[in-house]
Parts: sequence; structure tokens; C-alpha cells
Amino acid sequence: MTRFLISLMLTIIASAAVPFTAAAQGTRLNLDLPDMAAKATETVDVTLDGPMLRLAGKFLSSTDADERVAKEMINGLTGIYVRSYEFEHEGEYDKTQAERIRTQLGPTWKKIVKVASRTKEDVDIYVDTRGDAVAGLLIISAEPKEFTVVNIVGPVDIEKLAGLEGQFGIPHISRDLKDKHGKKEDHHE
Amino acid sequence: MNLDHELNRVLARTSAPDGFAGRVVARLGDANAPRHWHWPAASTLRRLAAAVALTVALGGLTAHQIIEHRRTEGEHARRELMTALHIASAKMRVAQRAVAHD
Repeated sequence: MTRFLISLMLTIIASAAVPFTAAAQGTRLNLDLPDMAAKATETVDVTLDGPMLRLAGKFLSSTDADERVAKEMINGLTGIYVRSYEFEHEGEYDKTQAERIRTQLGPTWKKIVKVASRTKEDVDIYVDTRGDAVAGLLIISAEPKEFTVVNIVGPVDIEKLAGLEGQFGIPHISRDLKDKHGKKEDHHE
Repeated sequence: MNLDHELNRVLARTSAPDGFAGRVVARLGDANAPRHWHWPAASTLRRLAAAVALTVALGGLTAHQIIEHRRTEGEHARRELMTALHIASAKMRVAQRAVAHD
């Protein structure tokens, strides 16, 4: 009986601790959009939870510039999730399906960038903030023939992520994203 | 024949033969004495060596398979990670371009 009571108490304590742990690490969003996946001609589905992320980190080269930056970037992250769907024809998917992801965003999530284009690509970037710290990132990109969503869980270094463009062989365009994001939101919303 | 009489005769208490106690004590002394170790027979040794070799080979093969599986899994995770970061950085780049145009 005593052992049962101790087990019960430990279970209650453990279950009570889970939400606090999740809150400190940011929350994973459900990115699954089965309707889109069914219509897409090409799908990219990346699910890297904590253990897989750490395993990937061990296999990153320290001599390759891209991989060295990636190794620094994933330090402290608990998950990276990507869903990207490519369609044969324009307008083949329902853009409103992105709302299924947006509705999961709680009050700690803030939109930092919104890029709206009638003909090209709409990009929304949200960050999950806990005080001054960033605990997660969400990128929703909608193109006429492609829909992509990225969720990074953990303390994302946004500047470093933006800086990856130069590391992946693409020249830097601007490093002012952090300074201008407020202005950007005003102009495009 | 009287059965009772026969049983009494068979089960009757008799004295131990002379020197019995001494022989028992002497045998006990032998049992406590350290035994000499002898090498097992050659055939037993051969079987033992074969069993050890087989165990080592199987263990090595299993360890190799586990390491190989882990390496494949790690390489796959690395490629997925790089794909994910490429996509994320490309989308950030679109946002940066738009910011730069303002």
C-alpha cells in the first residue's frame, strides 16, 4: 500500500512537471496537413527530435563551413520540423489550411515578419518568446505552387539562422532583419 | 521362518569393525586436502576454443552491424538537418529581401 502511494505521488509530481519543462523549452507545433500531402507532387518531411538532432550533430563536419555553422545553430535546440509540399499547378492547394497551424500559436508567439505578395511568395515568421529569450520559431511560406512550414523548437539564434544564407553559398543581402522587422510588419500587413 | 525373528537378526545392533573410525577420519583428511588440477582433454580444449572463437566472431559482427546502422542513421539525420536548415534559411532570405527593399 505504501509503495502504491509513493508511486502515485511520483506519477503526480512527474505529470505536473511536464508542462513546466515544455514551457521552458518551447512547444512543438503540429504541422501535419494531410490534404496538402495527398495533392502534392513532391513532399519534404523532416522530423528531427532531440535525440535525432544530437545524432545529426555528431555527424556534422567541423571542416565544412555550412556544417560548422549548423552545428553551432542546433546547440540547445530540441526539435526541427519541416513540411514542404510542391504542386503541379498554381492554386492547387488551399492557402487557408495554414490557419490550422496559426490557431495553435499561443499568446507567447509573436509575428515578427509578414511578407505578402500577390504573384510571388507570402512569408510569415513568428517567434515564441519567453521573456527576452526566443524559445521557438515558425516560418510559413506560401507560393503559387509550393507551401512550406518550418518549426524550430528551442532557443533559436535568429541572427545566426538568417546568417546561414551566406554560409550556404548564397551572398548576404541584408543583416538588418532584426532592426527592421517592426517596420516590415507595418508595410506588409 | 519367523519374520519377526529374521528382522531382529538383520536389524540387530552390531559393533563397527576394528579401525573403522580411524579409516573414516583418514578419508575426511583426504577430502579436505587440496586437489591437483589437471588440464582438460585436448578435444574439450578444442571445443572450448571453437566456442570462444564463435562467440567473439558473432559479437564482433553484431557490434559492427550496430555501428553501421548507427552511422547510416546519423548520416541520414545529418542530411535531413542540412535540408531543413537550407529551407529555413532560404525562407529567411525571402523575408530579408523584402525588408531590404523597404
